[in-house]
Amino acid sequence: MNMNRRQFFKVCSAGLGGSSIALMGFSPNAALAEVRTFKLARATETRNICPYCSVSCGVLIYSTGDKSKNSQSEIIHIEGDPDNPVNRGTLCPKGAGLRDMIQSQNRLKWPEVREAGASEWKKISWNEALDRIAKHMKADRDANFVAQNKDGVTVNRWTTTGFLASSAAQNETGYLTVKMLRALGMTSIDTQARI
Amino acid sequence: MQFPPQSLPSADDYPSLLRPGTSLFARRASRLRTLAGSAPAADWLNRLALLCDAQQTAFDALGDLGLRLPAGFAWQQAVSAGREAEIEAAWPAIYPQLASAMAAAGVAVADLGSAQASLPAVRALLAGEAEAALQSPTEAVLAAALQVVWTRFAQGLDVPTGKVLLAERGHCPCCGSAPLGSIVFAGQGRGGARYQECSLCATRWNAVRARCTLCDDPGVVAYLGIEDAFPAVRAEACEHCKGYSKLYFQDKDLVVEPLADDLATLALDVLVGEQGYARGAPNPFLLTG
Repeated sequence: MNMNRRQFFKVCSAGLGGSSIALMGFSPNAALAEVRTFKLARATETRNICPYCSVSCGVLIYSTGDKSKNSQSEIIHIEGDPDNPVNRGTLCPKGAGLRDMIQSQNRLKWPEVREAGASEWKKISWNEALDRIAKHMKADRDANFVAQNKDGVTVNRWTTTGFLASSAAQNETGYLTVKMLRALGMTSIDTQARI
Repeated sequence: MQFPPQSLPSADDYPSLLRPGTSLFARRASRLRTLAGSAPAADWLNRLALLCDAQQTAFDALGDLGLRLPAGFAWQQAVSAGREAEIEAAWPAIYPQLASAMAAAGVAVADLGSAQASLPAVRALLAGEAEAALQSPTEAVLAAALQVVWTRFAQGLDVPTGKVLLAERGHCPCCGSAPLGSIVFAGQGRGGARYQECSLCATRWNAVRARCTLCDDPGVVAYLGIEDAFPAVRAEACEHCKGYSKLYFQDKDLVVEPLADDLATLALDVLVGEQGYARGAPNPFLLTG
């Protein structure tokens, strides 16, 4: 985009009180008094992908809060992204209710574990969760990795664990996911975005 | 087996370009009068409505300019490139008509001869290259006369009905001027789609939502609006270039009109300016100084 010559200017109360605009019938005092009765509202609009199904509709998320420490950010509205060629601004009823899922009291917000034999779910940290997943993966892979099939052909496969990738992952994330999982020998790889 | 034609949302595609309608100036005048209502600047908005009325009369009298797109035009440059003299030939005849309409409304403007001296300032503003808004009613009327001829030219163009890969999204693909803001449509087909509107010829061209149109930085943009007033108007402010331009949402007000609503919401400009953002969109009817 050619920005070299684009100029910016300020519209300030002093400028609106100028004589030229007054010549055209602009009454600065009343107009500027009105300005002081108004309060500015701020929101941001960001793109994301609906997490539900494999269609992966684009959404626009509106939130309030200016990211300063003492302001609470809150999602106030979600709508379909009109620029996304998949859904062109439309959403299914479930997707249209996304905001309620995000703000649901029952929404899972941190990793939880139910130990073998226990009846209660216990909150754990992300580090603990990732360590546990890694240990489970290693144990399962050590027990079930197949280096050669019964005919003696090298296959190096691990078929007892599967992986489901996110629908919001881009090409690059998808590439790294497959690289990583294939290196482990995993054969059951799928993505939420698969159609 | 025969399948019915596809009716998925992804089959909907809106055009890249929209040419201005033949009643553009009448719509602006009517919108200005509506907005004038109880506004503190009602006199001003009503006078500008008279100017828009005069523009519509001149537009209707002008008739088709007969200028068309060359065959196989690739949209790699503004359509008008090199043909400015042909397109603008009629403006000196239109200026006195607009000037007399303003004189009748009690606003004195210079005659054609002295108005010519304001031409560079007006051109710089419309191109988005001016560091301030226009300074005198004469300049505004001059810009109004140029709008009439350029809108007539843009109206006569045979714009493609599908997608066009524009070389430059920051300026009008028809005349090369800067946009005065964007409109976000409501309703079936192109609902939610954002189009920038040219400050000179009123051609509209598609631009992606939730992204700064002034610097194209992919970062998050903020939407600043006035609480409990003017729900259809938001300033899209960018943290990267510290600039803003206004968005007009048809789903909040179906008859929203970028040029007219811009002038009625100058309070928003003052408040947004106080937050440290500067305006990157010209409106020839906004005077300061």
